Order: sequence, then structure tokens, then C-alpha cells
Amino acid sequence: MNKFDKEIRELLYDAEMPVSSTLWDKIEQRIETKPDKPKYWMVFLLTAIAIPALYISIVTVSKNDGISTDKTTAIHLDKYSNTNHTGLRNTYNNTAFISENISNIDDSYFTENRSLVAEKETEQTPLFAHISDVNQSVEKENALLQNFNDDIIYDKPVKSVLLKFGSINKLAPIESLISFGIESNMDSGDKRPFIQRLFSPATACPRFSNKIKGLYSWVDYSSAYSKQTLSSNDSELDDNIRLRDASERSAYSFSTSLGMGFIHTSGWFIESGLTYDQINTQFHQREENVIGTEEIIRTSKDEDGTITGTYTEIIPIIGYNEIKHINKLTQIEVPLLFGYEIPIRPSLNFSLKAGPNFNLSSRSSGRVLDLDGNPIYFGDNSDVDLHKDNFGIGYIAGAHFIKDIDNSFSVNFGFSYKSYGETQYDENPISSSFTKYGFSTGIRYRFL
Amino acid sequence: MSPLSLNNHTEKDLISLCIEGDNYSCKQLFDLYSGKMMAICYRFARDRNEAEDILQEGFVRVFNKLSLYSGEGALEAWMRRVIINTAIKYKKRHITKHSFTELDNVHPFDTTPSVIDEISKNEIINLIQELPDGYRIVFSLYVIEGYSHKEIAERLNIGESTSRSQLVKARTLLRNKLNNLTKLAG
Repeated sequence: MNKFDKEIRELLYDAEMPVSSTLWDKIEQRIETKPDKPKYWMVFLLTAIAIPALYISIVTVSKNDGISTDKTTAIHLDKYSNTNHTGLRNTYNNTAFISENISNIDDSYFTENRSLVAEKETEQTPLFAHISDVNQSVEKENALLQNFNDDIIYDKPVKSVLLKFGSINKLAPIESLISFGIESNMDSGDKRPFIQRLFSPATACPRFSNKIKGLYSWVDYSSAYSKQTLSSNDSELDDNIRLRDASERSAYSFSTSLGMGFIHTSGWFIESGLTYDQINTQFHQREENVIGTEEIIRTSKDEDGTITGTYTEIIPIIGYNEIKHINKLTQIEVPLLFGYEIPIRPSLNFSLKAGPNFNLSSRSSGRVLDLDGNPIYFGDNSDVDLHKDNFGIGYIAGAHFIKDIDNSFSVNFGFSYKSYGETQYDENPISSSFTKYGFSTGIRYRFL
Repeated sequence: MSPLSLNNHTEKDLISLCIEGDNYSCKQLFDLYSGKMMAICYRFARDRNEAEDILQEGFVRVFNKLSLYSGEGALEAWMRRVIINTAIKYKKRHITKHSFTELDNVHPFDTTPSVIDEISKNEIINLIQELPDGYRIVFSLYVIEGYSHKEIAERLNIGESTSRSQLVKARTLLRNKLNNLTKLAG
């Protein structure tokens, strides 16, 4: 900048000009009251709190040895022979269907099978329903079933009543009641209903205790489609980002992982390892293409009519090309996953897992479109790759089926989800976040 | 910028109130900065009407994006950048590449900078206004706003060399005009 420039700048930088008095009215009409952007981190936080809270609440209720009803009655099965069963019927006076069925039970079956019920109706006394040591023979069960008006329906209401009371305190009564009715078709060593198995970690599942407790190694490959979201603190880049977003498409992305895990006999497991993740997004640029030119020669004159110069205007005739651009983000991550395995078949499990994903390093070659629709690199124009070294945390979750090949090897396949919040690169006005969802498959090797 | 006292509100207060949707506070900020911003818009525009269109567009963006102003640095500088970008965007919609073509015969005059002292601010503004669009925009961005040729090239989607040549020729043309004006005045 020379002296002439400096003098002009000093003179004009703070120059002011009057503004039309009606301008403010026009502006006022166009000012929006924009709602806050949704706080995605709050959704994650609430989810993170809600799931453990739900789990804890269910486990806590399960550990409570009482079933509370509005009209509480203590039932001691071992005293049933000394009384009739009307008390029991009264106990379930809110469940007429059950009462009817129970009223049809021949007392002799209870007497013979030490299924004894004593009842003493007292207000505010916890209801205990201990049916211990139930080992009736199949014949006796069948005989008992004949005394029910509708033995097929019986099984379902009993379960629903118990669940309705909100207390699955001991598994024995439920198992025994189920054994009266329909046999579970899930031959996984645990005949409890799915919901009970899911929320009863204290009870060891035979499958886990016998087969898969302990350490295992795993390798996963995930193929996914992703959505990258760019944002900027510099509001002036919003238009550029919107322009790019409008033409963005998902592109094939993948990640490979390997690591170690440990599974407890309860079915809970923890996994960690190392992941290479490549996230691709593509966007389209509609590139102007000059397909011809038109020249116009003009002259400029001063106030006296003296020609001061000539302009040669070259007017391009414009056409368009559409060009596909790929934005690539590569990351090295350490996932830390907590999950639970649920046996479905002897050699098939279903697992749910989720946890934080620690981002160690990421490299991004990214572009947005300028206001003319041409791609410009976000960040330093001369540095295509943006390298982030600062630590970041994302979230990862998955739902998989795990099929055993033998006692050591198993394969898994399922759905995976991954997301990162905003990742701000140093000295870069644009930050990025992404979500990625797709299928993943992998192999496990168990150290037995 | 140091806190301003506007009806017992500092500039920071006004910003907060504007973000909350208080139009009266928006009006106060508008009154405070509209004159300077108008002068910027005028350097990008052909005439006052166009400058007011740009200013209107610019202030709408300023108020709608005010929540993104981090508070670091002066509000005026942030506002200035928004207005300039709005002006560039506006002009891009209204001019084509031929605005940045070469002026074939611009005869250089040996004009001393001191000539500026003899001319009023308004006369210089009007002289700049007479420059062709491309010259005027490059000249304003480089000389007055302090943008580099690289930034100008990026913003206007032209080559850096084009930006340089436009500046040289704008400077020469402006000096010629200044010289003519002082001769007439003399």
C-alpha cells in the first residue's frame, strides 16, 4: 500500500453517509426471530441418563421382595392345606380371570404337591408368593392343567399380572407357572421370557457360564453411508455451506476395527480397540463453462467530451458442467463399548452395545462452494488437508446378531451407528460434525 | 469497541437485547452504525438506491446472525465484514465477468498524493464512484478495507493477477480524475 492509498484509506475508512429515513422500517419487517438450533448433545445426555435410570429402576424393583397391591395379603403356600383357597381368590380380586381359574383348582393337588397356601388378609402387609421347591412331574402338571377352564389362556394372564404388579422378585414362581402352561420354544438354557432375561443380570445364564465367559478378540468391518454437517461461527460462510449442503449426497464410507473384549457370565460385556474410519461425502458443483465470447468496444469520455480511453468488454457465453467432488475425513479412534448379549438360540446371540468413541486424530480434505457455486477449501487455501490433533469424543452404538461357528469363533453382523459432534479445526472458520449409519460384520475369537 | 452508553445500555446490552428480539435495541444499533455502513455500500454500488438495497440486505443479515457474534473483537469490524460480504454477494448477482476486463488506454499521469489535500472527502467519494464496477470494488477492498489480493481473488472469483491489474488501473484512473479536478479548480 503506497502513500496515495494510505491517504485515501485515512480519508474514507470512517466516512459516513446519510441513510434514507424509511430504510429502518423495511429492515424491521425482515428481521426474523430465529429459534435456537436443537441441542443434539442434550439428546445424547438425556439418553445416556435415561437408559441407566430405566435399568436401575427395574433392577431395584426386582430386588424388592414384595409385591405391593392396593389390598395386600400375605400368602404362604406351605399353609394352604389348612385353609381353603378363597383367600387367594380375594387376593386377586382385581383380576377376576385369575380368580376364576384358581378357584377351579382342586385343593388336593396343592396338598399332595406341598404347594401350600395360607392366607391372612391384613391391610398393608406385603404379599409374598414363594413357591419354592416346585418340581412337579409332567403328569401332575398335566393333571393340574385339566382343572383349568382354559389352560392356554392361563399362562398369559398370569405372566401379565405378575408383570403388572411390577415385581419379578423370584424366578421360581414364574418358571413354575409357565411350566403349567406353554413351554418356551427358546432352547437357550434359559426359559425365562425375553424381558426377564434382559433385566435380570443377577441370574447367571447357563449359556454364558458354560461357554463364553472371558476374554475375546474381535475384528470388524463396517460399510456405511454418512452425512457430514458443516457449520461456521462466521455467519458469512453460512451461505457457502448451505450451497454445498443443497447439493450434497451420501458417499460410501467404511471403517475397520480390531480389539479385545471381556464378557461376564451375566451377559454384560466391554470392548475396546482401535478403529480406522474413512468418511466420504460427495457434493456436486455446477461449473460455469465458457462456450463462446462476444466482444464490445466502448469509449469513455470526460465531461468535456474528450475520449479518455476505450473499454473492450469481452462478454462470455456461459454453459454448465456438473462436477462431483468427494470430501474425505479419515480418523483414528478408540471405541469403548459396553453391551449386553441375549441368547436367542444355542448358537445365536443378539447383542446391543454403545459407548463413547475417542477420536485421536483426524484429517479432512474438505470443500464448500463459494457463492458462485465453485468449490473452495475451507481453511487455508494452500493447505488442502486439515489435520486435527486435539482430542474429541463421539458416540457409537450397534445391534448385532452373533452366530457361533465353534466354541472359539463366531461371526457377527448387524447395524452400526456413529456420530461426532462439532469438530473445530485450528484456525479454521468451519467446523464439521457427522453421523454415519450402516451395516457391519466381523469375527470374534474367544480365549477359552 | 469500548462500551457505549446508549439510553443507559452498553453495546453489549444492546446486542443481548437484539438477540432476544428487542427491535428498539436493533434500531439503536442501526442508528449507530448505518452511516458508516452506508458509505461502504456506496463504494460497491452504482448509486444511492443500490447502496440502500445492499445496506438493507446487509443489516437484515447482521440482525439475523447477531447471535453468532462471539463478542471477540469490535462489533463494528464484524458488522463491516458482514456488510462487505453482502455487497459482494449482491454485486455478483448483478455483474458479470466483463466488469473485470482490461481498460486498454489509460494514460498514466504523474500525480502527487498531495492533490488529495485539496479535494474534499465527498469529491473523492464521487470520483471513486465514477470508476467502473470492477475497478471500484477491487480498489475499495484493497485500499480501504485492507483485503489482500489473494482474499479479493477468492471472494470475487477472479485471478490474483486480475485483482492486481484492476487495482493498478483503478489507481491510475483515479489519479487522472483527481488531477483533472484540481486543474479545473485551479
